Amino acid sequence: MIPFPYAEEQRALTNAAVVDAGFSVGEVWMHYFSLSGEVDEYEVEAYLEGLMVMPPIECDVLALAVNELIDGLPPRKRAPFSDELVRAHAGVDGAA
Amino acid sequence: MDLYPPSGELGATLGRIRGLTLTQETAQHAVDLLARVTQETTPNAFGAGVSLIHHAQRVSVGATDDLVRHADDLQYGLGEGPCLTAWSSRSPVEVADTTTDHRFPQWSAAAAETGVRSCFSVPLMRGRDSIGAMKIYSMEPSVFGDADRARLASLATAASALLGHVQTSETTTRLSAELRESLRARDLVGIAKGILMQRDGLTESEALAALTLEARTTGVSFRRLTAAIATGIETP
Repeated sequence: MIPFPYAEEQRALTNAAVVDAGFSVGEVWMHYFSLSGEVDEYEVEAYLEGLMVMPPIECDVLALAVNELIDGLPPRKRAPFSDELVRAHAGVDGAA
Repeated sequence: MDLYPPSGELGATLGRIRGLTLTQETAQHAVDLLARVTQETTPNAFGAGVSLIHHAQRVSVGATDDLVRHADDLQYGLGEGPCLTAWSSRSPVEVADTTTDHRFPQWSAAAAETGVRSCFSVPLMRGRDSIGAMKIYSMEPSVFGDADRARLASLATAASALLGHVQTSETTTRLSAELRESLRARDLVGIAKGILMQRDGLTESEALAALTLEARTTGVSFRRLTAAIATGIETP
């Protein structure tokens, strides 16, 4: 395996992202698998826990999987502007 | 959409899914056995039953006789009764006498008519989730004592551990749909990698690295990017 000097930093930050988003290892692995990830679920879990290393390309595919899952999370609620509410209500009344 | 030849990971993935799934038939057999054990160890009980409940719908039911089954059917038909409440409230429910208890008026009246006078039900808990209920019935009012209640609670704990692994058919379907989708996406990556290897003379991992970089820099999802390459719509 080619040594990558920031492997541990990548692992720790990837794990932190998974924990922060509240994903299970199962769902992360399933998406990683769909992106052609080659490492088994148990090994991915062990990697995230810092118990073993994965080839750099697999670490990147896992990072991509985690980021795509994060991008798929529902966006935060946004505050409406007054004119948006006026338009929204006019639309409802107009239809009625 | 048809599947391309599956990858080498298929065996492992199928094994993973199989490990999660206990078939409906196995579940049915388990709840029948549990109902029988409950009845045999509770002399005060005329009959016993076990129900697995998912989204207020019964998915499996085990009963020692037709009367128990009927008393149970009444609950789900009427939408009220001690087992449904034990399941939803996650705590034991006792109806000491169906002719005087007014918490479940329709069920109590219908059950009393068939001869059922008392019922004790405990929820089946899996962690914080309620997955069903176990119950004992009697033709006599107020017959269940502390020993009966404690025994049923212990049996319910054991039953929960066993039945907690039962997946409803809905979950099984969802999992296999997810797996099919996942394999399809994976195949698209394989095809896209092959196209890049052939066209640009890259190794497999170089092709994967190029695709990953492309997805990151364009913000397009890997699935859409690889689908576009595989179908020849777009080239990176």
